[in-house]
Amino acid sequence: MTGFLLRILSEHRPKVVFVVLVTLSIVSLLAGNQGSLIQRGVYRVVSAVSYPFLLGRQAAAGAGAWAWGLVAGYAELEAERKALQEQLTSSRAAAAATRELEVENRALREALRFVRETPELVLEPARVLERYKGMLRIDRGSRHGIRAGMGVIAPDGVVGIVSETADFMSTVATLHHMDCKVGAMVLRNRLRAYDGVIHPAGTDLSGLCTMEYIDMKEEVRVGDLVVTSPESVFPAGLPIGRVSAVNSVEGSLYKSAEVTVFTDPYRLDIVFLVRRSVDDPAWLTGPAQDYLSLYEAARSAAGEPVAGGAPGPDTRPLQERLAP
Amino acid sequence: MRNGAFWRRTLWWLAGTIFMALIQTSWPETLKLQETAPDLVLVLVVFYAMRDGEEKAMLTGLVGGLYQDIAVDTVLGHHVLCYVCVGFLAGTLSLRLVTEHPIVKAGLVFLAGLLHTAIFCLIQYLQEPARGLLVPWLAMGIPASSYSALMSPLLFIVAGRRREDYGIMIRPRPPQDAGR
Repeated sequence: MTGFLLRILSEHRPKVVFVVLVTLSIVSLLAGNQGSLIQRGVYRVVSAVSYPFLLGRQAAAGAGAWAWGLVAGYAELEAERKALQEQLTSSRAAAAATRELEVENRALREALRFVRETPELVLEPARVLERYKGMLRIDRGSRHGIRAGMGVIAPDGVVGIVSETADFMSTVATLHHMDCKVGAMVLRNRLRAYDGVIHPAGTDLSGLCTMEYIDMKEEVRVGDLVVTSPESVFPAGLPIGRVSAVNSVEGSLYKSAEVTVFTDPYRLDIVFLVRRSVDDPAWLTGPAQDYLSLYEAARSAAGEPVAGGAPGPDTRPLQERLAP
Repeated sequence: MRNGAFWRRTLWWLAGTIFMALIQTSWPETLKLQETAPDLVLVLVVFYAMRDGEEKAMLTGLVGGLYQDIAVDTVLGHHVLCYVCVGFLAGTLSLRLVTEHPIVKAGLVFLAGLLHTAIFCLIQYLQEPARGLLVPWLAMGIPASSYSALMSPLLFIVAGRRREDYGIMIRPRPPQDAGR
């Protein structure tokens, strides 16, 4: 009987397993008490079996989170780097704009100071639109009352002369351009050249002017301050430059002086057109001693070198000055 | 007396079943697609039903069902009964399959999924009639079964990559079935 039963069970084992499992499941479902002894036992067994898997799952989840953190963190850092780079770029642009405003503000203050300190001049401020080969294009033209031949100055000194005018803009030939000739004299002794002018010496970038046809007997020193003469279109006494070299050829009747001009047209943003000037009589007749001292003291206070020590006009008698 | 290969296969089977149940219960949100998750244990039950027969499938359902009953804190036997029934029927049905075409296998998984959710919803209905029977079955069964069927080729390949297996094969018919 037992052998027969075992044979039947062996032949129909899947069905027997099915019946057993279904029966047990239904019994468990019908019992329905989740805190039963069987449930607790099964819970313990399943927990014990699945514990290594749970540990592995936790480790895998941690590793996955760590790896994802690397990727996500890199992406976040990259995004943050880009944002900071953009911020840095905009900050640099803002800082550059601020610096530019600061420089412009300083230039405007300097221009204002210059206008206030020269009440004898009626000046027309003009903005420089373009700079090219010693020429400046400014935003004032004939509609503003600008005429060719008007003098153009800056706080540093003479800039040039208006060469052409249009309705709303004008062209200025600066002391770096060959078309510009300005009546000039050496401040120390009011010495003029025979033609009475200085003109640019070479290329527009050299910044040098030449005072030619100076009598060999005249005294010109390196460092002498050269200013506008009363015969020029400018008011007398405006600084032009400083003598940087004196050239004389043996046997020649004349010598020449190289003058380094004070203004650089490539650095100017605002210039002033001289509409009208009231010349100081002292400049027309020759500067008094104290006037020259005051002038040089002002240059010295501004940190600029002053011509070495020999003050006043040349007081030698005419015969002595012209003697061979 | 069982040899070492048997115990090794048994250990692999147990580990694989628990691993599938673990994935099913641990990362349901990851597996979800349009609020529908595949039933990985069900796919495994069908896989063993086709490869090793209904007995192995029922034991797979027993282990996976027990784990899920414990994990989701349902009455013990709820998942087990579903998986055992599915395993038995899938194993019996797989005897009649004469093709290994993936679509046929996926279809078997789909039918198994429908059956599984039907039994699941029936038990749930008997426990709590207020939940209803047909609507939960249709709302849960069809999408989940479809998703499981879609996942089945991939899982069949993964589950059949053991060295002892050479792909997924329908188990050879026993001699007494050869004449049917």
